Amino acid sequence: MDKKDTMFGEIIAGLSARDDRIQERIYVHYWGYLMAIASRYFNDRNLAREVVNDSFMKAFKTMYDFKFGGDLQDFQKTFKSWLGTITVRTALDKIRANKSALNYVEEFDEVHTGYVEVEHKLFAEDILKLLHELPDLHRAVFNLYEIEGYSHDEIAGMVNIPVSSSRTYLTRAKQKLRELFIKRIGITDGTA
Amino acid sequence: MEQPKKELIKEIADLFEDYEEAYVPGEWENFQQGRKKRYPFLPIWLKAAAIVLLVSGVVVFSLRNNLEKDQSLSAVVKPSPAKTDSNANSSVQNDNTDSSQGTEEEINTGAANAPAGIAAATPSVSNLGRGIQNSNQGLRSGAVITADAGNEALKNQAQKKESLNYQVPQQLMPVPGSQVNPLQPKDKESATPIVSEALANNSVQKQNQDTLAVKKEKLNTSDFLLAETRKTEAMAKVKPVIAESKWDFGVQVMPSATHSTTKVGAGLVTAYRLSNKLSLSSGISLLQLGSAGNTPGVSGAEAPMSTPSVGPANAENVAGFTTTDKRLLTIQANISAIDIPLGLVYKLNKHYYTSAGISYFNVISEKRNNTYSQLSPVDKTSTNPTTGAVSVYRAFQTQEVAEPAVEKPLKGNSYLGFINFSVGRRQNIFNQYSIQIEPFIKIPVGRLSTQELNLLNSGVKFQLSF
Repeated sequence: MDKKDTMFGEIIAGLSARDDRIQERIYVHYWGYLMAIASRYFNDRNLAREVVNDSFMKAFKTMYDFKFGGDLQDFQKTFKSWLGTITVRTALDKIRANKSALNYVEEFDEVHTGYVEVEHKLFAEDILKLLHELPDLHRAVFNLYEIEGYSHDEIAGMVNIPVSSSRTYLTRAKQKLRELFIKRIGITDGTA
Repeated sequence: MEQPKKELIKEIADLFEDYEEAYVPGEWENFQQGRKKRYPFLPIWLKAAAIVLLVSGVVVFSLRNNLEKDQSLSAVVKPSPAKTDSNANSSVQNDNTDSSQGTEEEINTGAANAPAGIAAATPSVSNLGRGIQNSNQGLRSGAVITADAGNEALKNQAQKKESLNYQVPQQLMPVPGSQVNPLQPKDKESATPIVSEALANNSVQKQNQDTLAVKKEKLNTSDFLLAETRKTEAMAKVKPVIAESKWDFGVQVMPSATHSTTKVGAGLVTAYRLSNKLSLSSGISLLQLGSAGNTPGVSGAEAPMSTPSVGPANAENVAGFTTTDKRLLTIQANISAIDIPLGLVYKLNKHYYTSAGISYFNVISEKRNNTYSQLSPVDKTSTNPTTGAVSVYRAFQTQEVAEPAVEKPLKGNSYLGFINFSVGRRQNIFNQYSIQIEPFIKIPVGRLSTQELNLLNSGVKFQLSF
């Protein structure tokens, strides 16, 4: 049993015993993962941190009733996914709270950029910068569909938009990202 | 090694799938602090929310009760429009009968056939005609109004329905001097004038005609019913039953007397009616009690008695004070306290009630005066009548000294203090207001009864309830 398994074993034991001391272990272990999720929705680090802390707060209230099959690997996946779901929903709530409604969509020229190949290794910081240039709703739909793996039906329910709008926003978000990426490559290559 | 080329979006998705930031030391500590700051007043907030919820619950509950009472009241009063309509019906049935019989039947059918009366809100033309006939035979004015209303309805109907079968005016034919022409089915325009003409020829129906002239404006069915309801209510002088809430509130003033002084208290009271006879009362009041207690010679300072120097005459006086020079005689106390009674009130009859309960007693202010009896040495002079020599001698004199007491054993303490008994009389002064006069007695129990003060008190409560 490696160190990671030991840690998860402790987490499971702590959850079973409803021992509050396990919270710190969970917080430290998953903070980076939740922060990565929140950063995709918020450019502001403080807001992202707030979302993460709110998510932990919610999780700590209910995690003692977390059900899993008994398999350690299974627990790792499901618990992480559960925390991720909480964070995504908290982030959406935060966006809604900061704006009157998640419906503002900046119009931009339709430029069809079909397929963009990546020749170099991507860095998360660079892509995050591109993401944050997207309108909130586009970015949220893109994150939810492409990264979190939600369907358009689920996204429509979460963001309170029609399914067709979800598809449209996703398409626009992808196009915009490609444009931005090409521009960026052009700048870095010195071709522009 | 060159990595295989991927589409941008796929690459981004893969990149973020397992992307994690590095943990920043101190985040947990910040989280802990933020968590403490975030809900510092949570318990108080929860308490406030609970209080608000409780109060609003009570208010909603009482309002709901009021509403239910109102509805039941309107259910009682509602037969009035039915009464009007069934007046018309019964007046039709009681053709050629005397008016007193008709009146009796009106009352019966009016109460029993309320829904039917409402259903038959638009009187038929035939009913109308017969109603007019009845009124022609001298029925009381209620019937006249019914026929009148029926006329109005007839006008409405005549205007609305072209296909009405106007056989009714023929029933008006027996009216002496009537120039009624049989109406043709399509003669819509002339329907109302014909009826009016028939009425005009009827000498008894002058009142109806006047009313018709006044009521030129067109009324729809619901307005008609409403107007009739109001009229009938006014005529019948139905006294509306005031829907009473299960909650009673009141303010009270209560002079109360202990065996030594009389003070006045005041407060707010509330009562919840459990049944017709029983109710639970509570409230809060500020009481002032003045009390005095006699103590059985509690010794003060145990200083040795000084021996009388001169004067055999004082020897006897001094003899009683051989051991002490200061004795506590009485304690006079003025107490202000919050009294929260909880009692059960039993209604003996419409006016009289009796109640019994207990009081929670919290002393908020206490002033005590102790009265001591003490011997003081005094120098006295006496003149010998035979020799005229003046002699000075020392005697002891008993004096009563009152001193404010430092100790306040009751202040700040809460007691389950009194058992309360009272008998009262309630008198309504307005619809919702009543005054209550309630002699009471409060008997101290528990720790209050063991005090040297006699807190037994009685008085009369004067209460205004609403």
